[in-house]
Amino acid sequence: MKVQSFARGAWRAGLAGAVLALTGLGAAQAEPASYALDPTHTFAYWDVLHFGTSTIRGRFGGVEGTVKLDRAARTGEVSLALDLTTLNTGIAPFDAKLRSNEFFDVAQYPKAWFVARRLEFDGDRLKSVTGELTLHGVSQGLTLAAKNFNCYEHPMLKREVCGGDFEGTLRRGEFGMAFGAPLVADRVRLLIQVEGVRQMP
Amino acid sequence: MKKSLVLAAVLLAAGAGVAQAETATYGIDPTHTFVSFEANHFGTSTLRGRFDKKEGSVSFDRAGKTGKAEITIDMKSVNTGVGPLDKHLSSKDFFNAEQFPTAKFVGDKFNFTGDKVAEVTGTLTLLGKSQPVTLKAVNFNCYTNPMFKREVCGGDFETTLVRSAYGMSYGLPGIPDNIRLVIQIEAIKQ
Repeated sequence: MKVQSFARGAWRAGLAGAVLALTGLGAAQAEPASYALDPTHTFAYWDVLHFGTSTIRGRFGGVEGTVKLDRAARTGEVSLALDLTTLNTGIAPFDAKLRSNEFFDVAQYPKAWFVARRLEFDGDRLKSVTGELTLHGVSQGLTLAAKNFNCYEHPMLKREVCGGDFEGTLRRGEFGMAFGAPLVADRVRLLIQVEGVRQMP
Repeated sequence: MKKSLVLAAVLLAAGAGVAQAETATYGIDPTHTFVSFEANHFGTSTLRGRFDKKEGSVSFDRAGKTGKAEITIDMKSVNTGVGPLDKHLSSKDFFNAEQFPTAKFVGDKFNFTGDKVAEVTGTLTLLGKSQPVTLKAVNFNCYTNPMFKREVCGGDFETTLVRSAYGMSYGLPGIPDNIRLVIQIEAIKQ
């Protein structure tokens, strides 16, 4: 009888321990993890149709900011700054034209910002990010939809890396950059490659 | 009177037919012609790169539905936005650009849908090896450029290469074998 009650007590203590452990684990998972952007795998590409014929592509590097994800709670926060002076289309005179006050006016607006707090998940995979893009002095809502999303253990860094491909569209006229429209389309597609390395808490 | 009108119409139609059947030659516009590639990175995101130097010409006959395209790519002009990666891609591990400075595509079979180019099939020579390649048109259009006052034809073409077929096997399978090519081309009528 004594032994039995001891056993029952031990079992109870064990259960309590397990519950505590689970709660603790839950708390650990619920903490948002911060990811530092990998500049070698983070680029903002855009493309736009030229004379209804072929697609002009350009790229911005120099993406800085913070990404916080809580994949268990399905929440997160994205705050990015894009250095517009890094514009690169492969044609230097075209880059100069785009940097000028006819387009991006990088002298006055050297950066664009994307701040998003509405993150949608499909299971633990990020599905879309909705926030606000500030470009050329104008702020507009923007949703970036994930075409790919994945997390993996980086074999060299020995750290978790999360990332994917995100797409969105904007109308450049709404940002006061209508030059050349409609021969060069108003609708611009954004293709974002992003990978971030999980930071130690 | 009626007869001569009909005859004139027939002659005009024949004349127009002959004019359309002539093969027109187009020089590629390097500011609107780019070969970009896409490779999946760790099953996660898409790594993109672009070749900045290229030259070539295209001739085609929309009525006769024939054509020929020749595009030469300078492999050292690879541009990913990451300098050390560009160097690695130019090295013997990938393009071996010292020994094989150019890649060349010769397309000699044009498939049309109506008068629009739908597919161009030919041979891509890369790392000294030649393999058949079909480029599929995602867009195709001709227009009169308001500045040159000349006809410009072009579009977007896509294909997927298996890089090991050219002997480019470095990093397989971690770095994927299938590489998607996304090609913008515009060419000005000569």
